[in-house]
Amino acid sequence: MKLERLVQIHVALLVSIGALLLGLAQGDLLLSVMVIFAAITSVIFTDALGWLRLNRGLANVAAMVALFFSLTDFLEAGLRSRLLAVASLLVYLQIILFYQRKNPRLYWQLIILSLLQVVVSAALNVPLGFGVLLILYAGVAISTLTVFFVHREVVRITSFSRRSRGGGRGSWRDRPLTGLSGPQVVRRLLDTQALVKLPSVRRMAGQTLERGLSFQVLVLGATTLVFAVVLFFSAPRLDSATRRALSRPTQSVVGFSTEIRLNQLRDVLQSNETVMRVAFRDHSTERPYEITGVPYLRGSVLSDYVTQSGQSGWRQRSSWAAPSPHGLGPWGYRGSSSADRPSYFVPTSRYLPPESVRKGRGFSPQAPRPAPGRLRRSAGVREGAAAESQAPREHDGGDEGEEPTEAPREVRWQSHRLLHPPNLDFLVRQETIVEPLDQSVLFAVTPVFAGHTTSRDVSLDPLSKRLYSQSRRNTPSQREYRYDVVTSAFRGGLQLEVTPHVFRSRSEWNDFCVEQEKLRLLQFDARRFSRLQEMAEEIGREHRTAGSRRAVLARALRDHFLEPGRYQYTLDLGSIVRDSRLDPIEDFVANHRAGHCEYFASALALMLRSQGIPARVVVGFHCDEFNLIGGYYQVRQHHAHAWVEAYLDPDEVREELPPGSDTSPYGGWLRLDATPGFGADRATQVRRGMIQSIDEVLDYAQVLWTDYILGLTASRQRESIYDTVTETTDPNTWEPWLKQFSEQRQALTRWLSRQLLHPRTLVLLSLAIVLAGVLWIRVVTRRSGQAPPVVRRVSRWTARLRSQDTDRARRQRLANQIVFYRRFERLLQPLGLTRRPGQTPREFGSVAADRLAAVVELPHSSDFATRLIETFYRVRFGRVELATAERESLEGELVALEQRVTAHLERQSAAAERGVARSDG
Amino acid sequence: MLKRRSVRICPEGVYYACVLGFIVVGATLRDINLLFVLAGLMVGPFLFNWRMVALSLGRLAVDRKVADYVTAGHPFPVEIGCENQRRRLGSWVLVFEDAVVPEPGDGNPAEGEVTRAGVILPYVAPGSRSQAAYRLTLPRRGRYRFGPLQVSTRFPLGLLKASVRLPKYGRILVGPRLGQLTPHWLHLLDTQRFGHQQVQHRQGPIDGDYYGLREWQPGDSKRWIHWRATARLGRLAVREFERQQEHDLVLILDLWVPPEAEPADRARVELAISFSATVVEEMSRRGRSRLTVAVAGEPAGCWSGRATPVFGRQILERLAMVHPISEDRLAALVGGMVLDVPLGARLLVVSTRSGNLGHLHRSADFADKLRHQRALANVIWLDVGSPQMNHLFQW
Repeated sequence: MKLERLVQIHVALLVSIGALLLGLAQGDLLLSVMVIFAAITSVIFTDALGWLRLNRGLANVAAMVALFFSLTDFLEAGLRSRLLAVASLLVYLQIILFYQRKNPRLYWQLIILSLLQVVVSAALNVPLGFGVLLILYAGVAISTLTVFFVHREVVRITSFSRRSRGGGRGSWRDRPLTGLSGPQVVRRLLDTQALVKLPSVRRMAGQTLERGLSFQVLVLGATTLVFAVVLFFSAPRLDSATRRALSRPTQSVVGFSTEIRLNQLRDVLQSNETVMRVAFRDHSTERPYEITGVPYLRGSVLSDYVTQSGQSGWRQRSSWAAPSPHGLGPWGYRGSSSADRPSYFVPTSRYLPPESVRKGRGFSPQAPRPAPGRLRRSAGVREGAAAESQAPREHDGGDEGEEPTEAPREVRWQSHRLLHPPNLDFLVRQETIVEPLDQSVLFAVTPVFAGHTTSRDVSLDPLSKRLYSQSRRNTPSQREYRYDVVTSAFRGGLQLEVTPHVFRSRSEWNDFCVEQEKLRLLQFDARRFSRLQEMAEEIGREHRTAGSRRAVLARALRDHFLEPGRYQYTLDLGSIVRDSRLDPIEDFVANHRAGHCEYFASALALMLRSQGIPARVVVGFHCDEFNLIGGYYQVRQHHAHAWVEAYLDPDEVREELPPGSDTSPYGGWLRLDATPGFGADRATQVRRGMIQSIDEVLDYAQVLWTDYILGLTASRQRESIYDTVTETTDPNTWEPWLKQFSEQRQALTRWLSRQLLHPRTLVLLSLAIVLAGVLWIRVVTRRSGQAPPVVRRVSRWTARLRSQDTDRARRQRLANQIVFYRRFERLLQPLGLTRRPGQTPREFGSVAADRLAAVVELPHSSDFATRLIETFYRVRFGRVELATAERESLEGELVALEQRVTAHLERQSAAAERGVARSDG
Repeated sequence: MLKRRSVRICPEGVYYACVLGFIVVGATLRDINLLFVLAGLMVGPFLFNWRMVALSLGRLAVDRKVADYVTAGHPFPVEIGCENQRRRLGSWVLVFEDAVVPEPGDGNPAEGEVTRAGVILPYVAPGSRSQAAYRLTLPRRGRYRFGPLQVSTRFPLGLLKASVRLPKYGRILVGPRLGQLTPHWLHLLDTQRFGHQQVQHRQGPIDGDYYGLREWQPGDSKRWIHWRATARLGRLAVREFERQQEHDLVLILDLWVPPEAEPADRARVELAISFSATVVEEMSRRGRSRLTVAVAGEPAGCWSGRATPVFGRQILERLAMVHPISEDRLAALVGGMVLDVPLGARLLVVSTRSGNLGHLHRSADFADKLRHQRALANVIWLDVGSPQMNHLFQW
């Protein structure tokens, strides 16, 4: 292939990859496809065939048009838009350059434009694929620069040839000389310049490219990568807490919501987007904590089942207000029209706190507020701090969902920080990375506490039981969010079914709150759910006996849904024939019995309430996808799930929890998952297929990419790089390893001392040594063409000892016997007779005989040459040793011949000297 | 051994460094890690290029091989050898730039500007030697000087360049441009020998006794090829015969030019020299004749001997440096030689002047010297500006 064609292909490939990088960065591959199309077609039609070539003027006009179009985009607001406008301009310019006639300057412009395009792309927040493609781009760039360099050198050297012919006069060989007189011809010849003829371009390029240039490119590429990695991780960053790279758009959490609207999850649950990655570590040992089964990550608690505007569903309670029939007043339910109100309610008076509480604990706006500092201090207390710190405070800000309409009587839970765990036993730390989401809600295994690494930004809304990020509450972040929390929900790798109530100490206020909560969670409209109630009572009759626990009945109700064949789990709700007169849950239980997790959870919660068990629906994630390489759960949109929590009395909670567990005087919550196939005993899905493994690797690489490439801040660099290096160089770090190594060495020494004394071991060892020696001799002999010096010395020594005439010695003697032939050749050299490579001695002898006959006045000189050659063949190849008399005869004749030749040469030189002397005279 | 090499950044390297600086500044100001990655990916090759070019020229031994004597207008090879005395690192894409310039001096007929040549040596392995060659054609005779020799490399990316200027000089003597003698040339000599045109009839394919074997040369008859020896040697070999008829020649080169010489006069001088050189070379190649060459120019001289290659080479080297004069030395020269012309030899005057032997008759060296004037009857006068020249001599 021509060198320039190789350059063209390289440049086209480089620019195409650069365009792909831009496409990845901006999430739109249209420009990439345009560039790739231009690259391919230009190589074929512009470079190879020459059919399509823009002249300079047209190209300039096209460039101006491209500049104009890009300028309009550039004037739009936003740095990202401006950068993309610049990138688009670079793309347009590259396309224009592609269709011009190429020269080294144009190639260089294309390379620089592509590089600038990559720079612009890198300024955007880019996925992992960008990094992989960037490495490929670097490799292709190095290869391109190398090939382009060779091309430039060849062109430069070739220009010497052109320059030396130049001056417009050209070579005399280029112009015909016919018809000119002698002097005219001479004048023209004198008018020419020196001509330099170089090896052909193809030959020079071919020689350069053949000499393992690709290997050099690989070495350069590897060196570049190593250097880039070292430089990237070691170069100190500015002490900047935030990266300023342009961010990507937030991802909408479509599988999870703070409320449930039935009939809306059909497509949502099938989304495969990653929501977060969750890893569990033992809080004391910092080692990964292995979980048996599938963890439930709670997001939000929904306590109110409402029907509004013909839509049934669950809502979360965000204010300490009871549903109001009129939607007015401090305890009223927000909503101005009757259509917006819930269809059922409990009288407001039932939710009023005790008078003493209302007057004494600060529910009045006039009541003194605790100082913020006290709140912080109380948050830091571990033992017994829960009740105190969870005292109600005046609301200091808005919240999504329902809000009281009149502020003076509004009583809401103030959001505050997460508490530390009451004790340090059985704690597991949950490390979570949440993708950019449009919600502030965070997900965690409950009960959830703050650990020493938990950010203060992580807060818990005690009213809605929702964990959330304060910083992302009003402005959803466009970056991933990290948080660590601690939970005591695991025993031996299993997530406990029962969670103690958040109130850990008794107080009048807590009593009131719990009672109100229980009342609220018992809301049930028997008229709307008549069939559901009948079924629940039927199950209740079977399992409710005197003294029976609520947990037994709750589990029986759950098992009702899990019985095979009775209910069907489906996401395809469109094919179900619905009775629009009935509530969706009543219809689900009574008629079609097909639905997804929200139907099952809703039905179970309502059944529990119908039997007097306070119950609520929890939405969150139930992830069974564990990444073995990264050691984390990869939670996707389709892992969104809904389950039920039923209230248990303190006695039942104590019975349900294992010994030593934390308990609450207010009981706790029993987790019930009524969705078939979603039980807690479901094994974690550890995928082993090749594609799945690749997927795991890619996902883990994405994590590393996000953490250590895009997100390598000064602090992370200090923790991950500098501190690690410092620890590595600290001798104390190596002390355990050295100790272990010493022990292993001693053990190995003892074992070897025992084994080596065994005769069998000694024999095998000897054989191995001999075999290794033979192999070594063979390898050395093959490499150097002769045996190792030690072997040669031993061989000679043994030969002398044997004192035998070896074949080698015989050959040496024979070689000594053909010295006469060597002498004959040396003798003929002054006459210009030298045996050429490939010429046999017999042929050489024939030529020599002719020459000697003409030069030397020696009788039978040609016969002598022939006889000498025959003798040589007899000795050299016939292995016949020459008799002494014959050898002496040959040597005598050689001496005579040598004298004759010397005399002839002297005569020749004397004649030449006379000729020169005469000419000088 | 190469020492004192200099490393400079190339224009492409400047562009590269500018983009790199832009990226580093952007990465630092905006705290964008990917730009740090990109900067790392760009700094690596830059430093690699620097180290490679700096190391590639270390411990190299460079030499130039060029012939002592060449003929003007004929290409000749200039071999540049490079020995890498390092143990591990090879040298890639070495560029050797050479210069050829006429050697300054009054007596040097060569003139012109500096001719530059370059050649690439793709790779020199550690501990080995490689060589590359370019072919050079010098249009004018005279003495030229090669050098200095510059060795450079930009491998592998062409961003930086390391170079060494070597004081390696060489000299070369460029002889007169050679042409081809036509059959009319032999015919001219034979005609002059016998006084009339005579056709030679040869008996069979050979015209003499067998002398020996030699390599084939242009102009040899195909009938002289010794096919068996050719098959054995792998190249053409011809039988050499002792010619019965040899052309002993006395050649007098008259390089006269008017005091105000014009380019045309100079062209005639060069043509005369080239023709004479071609005659000398042809006779030397065929050998076995006696040849006497006298030059009426500067420097003047007369050389005589058997026409062997060695003798021919000596004559050509002198013709390479000869230049014309405005003084008339021809008559004295011819007068001194005309009586010493061996029997059977012809005296040929190759002159830049138009005219004939009457010019000599009228000169003082021949006046009142009947013997000399009779001897002039056998002199062949050849005016290089005459149309006859085109019949005798071709390029």
